[in-house]
Amino acid sequence: MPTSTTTRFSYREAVRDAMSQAMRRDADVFIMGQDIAEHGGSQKVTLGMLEEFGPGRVRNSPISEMALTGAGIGAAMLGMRPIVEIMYEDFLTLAMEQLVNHAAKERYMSGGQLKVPLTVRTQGGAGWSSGAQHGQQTEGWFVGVPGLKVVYPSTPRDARGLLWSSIYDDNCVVFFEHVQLYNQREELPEEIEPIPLGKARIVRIGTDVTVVAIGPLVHEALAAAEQAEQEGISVEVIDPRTLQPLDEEAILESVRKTSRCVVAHEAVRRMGIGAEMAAVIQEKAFDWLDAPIERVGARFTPLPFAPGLEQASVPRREQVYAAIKRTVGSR
Amino acid sequence: MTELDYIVPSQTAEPGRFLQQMLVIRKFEQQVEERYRDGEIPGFVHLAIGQEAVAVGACAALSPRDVITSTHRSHAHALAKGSSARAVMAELYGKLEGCSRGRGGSMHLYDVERGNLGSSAVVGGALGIATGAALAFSMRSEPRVALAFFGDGATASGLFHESMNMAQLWRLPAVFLCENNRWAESTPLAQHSPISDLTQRAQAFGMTSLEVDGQDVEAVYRATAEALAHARSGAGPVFLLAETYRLAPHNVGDQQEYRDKAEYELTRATEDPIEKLRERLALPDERFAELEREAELVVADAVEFARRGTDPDPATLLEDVYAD
Amino acid sequence: MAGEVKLPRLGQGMESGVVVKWLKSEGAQVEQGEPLYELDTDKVTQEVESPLSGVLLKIVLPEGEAAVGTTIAYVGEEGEQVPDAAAESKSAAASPEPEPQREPEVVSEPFMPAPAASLDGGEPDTSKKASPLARRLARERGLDLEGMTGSGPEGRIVAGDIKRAAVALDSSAAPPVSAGAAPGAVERVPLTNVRRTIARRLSEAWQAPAFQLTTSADMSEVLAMRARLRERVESGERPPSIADFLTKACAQALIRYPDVNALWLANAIEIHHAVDIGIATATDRGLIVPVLRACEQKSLSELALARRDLVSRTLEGTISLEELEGGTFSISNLGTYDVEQFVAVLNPPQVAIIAAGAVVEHPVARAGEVEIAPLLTLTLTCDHRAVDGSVAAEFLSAVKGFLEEPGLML
Repeated sequence: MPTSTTTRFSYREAVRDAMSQAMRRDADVFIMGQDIAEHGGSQKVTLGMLEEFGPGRVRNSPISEMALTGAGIGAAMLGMRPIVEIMYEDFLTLAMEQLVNHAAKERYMSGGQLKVPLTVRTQGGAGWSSGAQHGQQTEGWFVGVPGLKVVYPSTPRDARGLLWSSIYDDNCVVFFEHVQLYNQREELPEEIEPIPLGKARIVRIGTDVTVVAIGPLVHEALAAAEQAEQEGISVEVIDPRTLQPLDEEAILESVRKTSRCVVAHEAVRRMGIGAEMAAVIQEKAFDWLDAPIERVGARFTPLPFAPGLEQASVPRREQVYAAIKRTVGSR
Repeated sequence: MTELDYIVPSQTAEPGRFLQQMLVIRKFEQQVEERYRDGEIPGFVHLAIGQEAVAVGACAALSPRDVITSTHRSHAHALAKGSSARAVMAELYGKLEGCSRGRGGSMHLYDVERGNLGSSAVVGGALGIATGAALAFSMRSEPRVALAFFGDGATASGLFHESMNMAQLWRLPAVFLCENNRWAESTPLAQHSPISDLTQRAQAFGMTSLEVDGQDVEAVYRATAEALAHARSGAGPVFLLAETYRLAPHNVGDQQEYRDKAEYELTRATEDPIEKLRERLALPDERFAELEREAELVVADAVEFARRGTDPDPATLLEDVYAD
Repeated sequence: MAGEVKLPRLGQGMESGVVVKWLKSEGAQVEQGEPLYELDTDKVTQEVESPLSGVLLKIVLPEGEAAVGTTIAYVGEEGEQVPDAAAESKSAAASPEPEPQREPEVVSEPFMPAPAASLDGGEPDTSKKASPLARRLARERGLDLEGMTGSGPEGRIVAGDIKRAAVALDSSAAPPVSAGAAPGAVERVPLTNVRRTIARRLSEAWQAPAFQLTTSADMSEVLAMRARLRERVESGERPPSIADFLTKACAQALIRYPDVNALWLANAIEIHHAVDIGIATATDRGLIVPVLRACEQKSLSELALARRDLVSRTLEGTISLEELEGGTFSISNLGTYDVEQFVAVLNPPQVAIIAAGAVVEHPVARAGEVEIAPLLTLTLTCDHRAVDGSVAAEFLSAVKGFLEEPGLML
């Protein structure tokens, strides 16, 4: 079989490619958001799309997150597959009423008459002194809403394949991108490889500790795993990729093998998605645990501005490595 | 069942039919109040008594392919847009045969087949959805219009302003139909709006506005038809202000301590849209009584249907949280 | 027909209200919309307007709490008859309140083996710090955590420690560990569904403010009648038992004192005029209470036949679910176990249960002479929320009377 040609895609280009390929294939797919047309969006994800698809399908919107999301819901209810870009995930708060009360519930409240195939893309993340309103991680606020799906890819391949599946999912998907990942690069075929929602990926195989990590923490966990390997600790890294629905089986299977688990995300540790994962693991794999489940996450503060403070707030490889060591103890 | 069981939007001004339709809604609401007070209907209910002419006149002007969004005070809109009295009543009883299969309730009536995209119980919450439906029509070049019902209270919400702004900016085929019944629950217009003429809201966006006597069903019909023609032509949305009256408490059980009793009684005596039309048509008493009886029969049948309805099986609880 | 004034739902979440006082008296003319009575809801006290115009014919609920939808008064034309108020209020009170859920009772329980007693003679050792995995491995291999040294953080015993200990044990060729129960071992038996239901229902019953009354009935006449009946029945047939006489006596007394033949619902007391008696039956699956229907309509011999059939099918486990539902009163009889007297726990939502011991000869003082009489000791347990002491005493005394003069109840 001839191998298809591959191209080096950045995470940013991978996101753009999923949208562009869907828009080429399907007139019902379009994108709207603030500054996404000529400007290409705050992170330049949509750069060049205006030229290809025109202002009708690459729609610059007023600064109206609530109406933008509401209009996305309405168009989706009529059978279109809108993509709404919310410039920073901090601004999801402005759209939250529409997401929580409408996007998530319309199907249920209508007794199954309606579908809301809307994708809400957003981005954020620390590491560049964005301050408290342009860098926090909010995925944990949405995973507890019945009716919403939540996706958070960590690589270009996952970003492209999962965004494609999100656009074609008949439910509202909140799709999180991380600002520090946009320049990650990976060889990808030109053809889209759709990745089903709700399937985790085993990023690294190991036998002693399972690290379940999302977003940038996947890469931090890989670095921590390399360091642990030097000391003879074999670390398995799993990226759930979709947080709602969560691939519980993949996580449990790994934990039953390693008997130790670390969960890691950049959002605050308290009440984070990691807490839910830890709860699931102790419920369903209690008798396989050989150590308390360790949680890695940001300190319980608004994201600070000063670079030193910001670094002290969010977790990186050192914290993941320390957690791995704690689970292994004095073995 | 009689033919009245479904109100079929006529797209013609037929005052005789308007009267029948308003009577069905009035009797429906009165029966809902009784059944609620008797403990048969759970939750809480908001009645549209006094506002029947807005629902009937506006929906009569819509084409069957046009869509509406509604509010917590939703029964009249659902009935006027063509949902059967049986399906709406069964929904109020929480039955599987209800128009939302018992998942929605009084404040969440849906009938997508008949163009009712549902009612939002967050005040003004559906305005974005109506804007988005209009966006879909515009992008697909379909000659359809999305009409959003909302009250005067909603005009103070952020989403109202965002949606009006966006719809006018993008020249979307939408009609924003504001039912000014003068009360945002217990708060009078003067306490929640710095302007008494709500069409000034539309001026801020350069949006065309129309104003109509919401107690005159024929006038509502004509004004809505004009607004729809404007929106359908691609000239952009219309803000249609219907001045109406809430001739009932906010919800059943509300004691209206905030409302002057004399004003309330006077308004009920002078602003009843059904009485106004009856007078204009110079209908003989016997004929009117006959129409009332017919409407009562439709509603009694709906109540019986709802009572005999099926309670949703708890085993189906998780169905439709997600689309497959 | 007279129109009903029903207790209205006046708002969100309202399920009941308390009538505080009536603003009109019976016989007064009322107009629709005119204030009729004051109602206290969990939020406010307010005047409620009359839904009808006419004469206030009857106030069913002069004051007190009722469920939404309950008929509290009738308005109609002067001199008009109102429906039987008791029957009416019963049905109205019952309608908005669903019947308390009866348990699905006898269901086959998937067999769950009781875990073998652990080596150290019972409960797992929780004093030692050990990981869940280490505990499981120790349990599976029959290892005692006591004396083991943990290599984990803070001395926690982890899986590796168990594995090492197991290897050490094997290599030292220690005698295999017996899996059987050692003398003095504690056995843990998982709860069956029936046992769970019993536990839950009886714990619920324990919440009710219950009181007990005890009396003794002289069974001389019953025994004499039974002896006569024994001669008359066909060979192979059995005469009615003491339990049948007791059932009959209770049925007759319940007809006279329907307040005892009642169910306690959250918002109402449901008084029954048909007597459906639950017969507490000890089976090898636990206590099961099948219901003997329409006892008030059955003759003594019909009762005897029906009761025997019911009890034997309960013991066999072929009884249907419907036959376990809907009792209005219960009898618990431990006479065959030689128990003289005991207190039974209520069978909710029923408001009363009678406990009967064995018929035992006792010296009885009669007119200055000591006689020996066969006595049956009866203890009535009542839910005090529904049944007053005096009513209970009268009911118990009626049961005693019927047993002492059985001719009166036949």
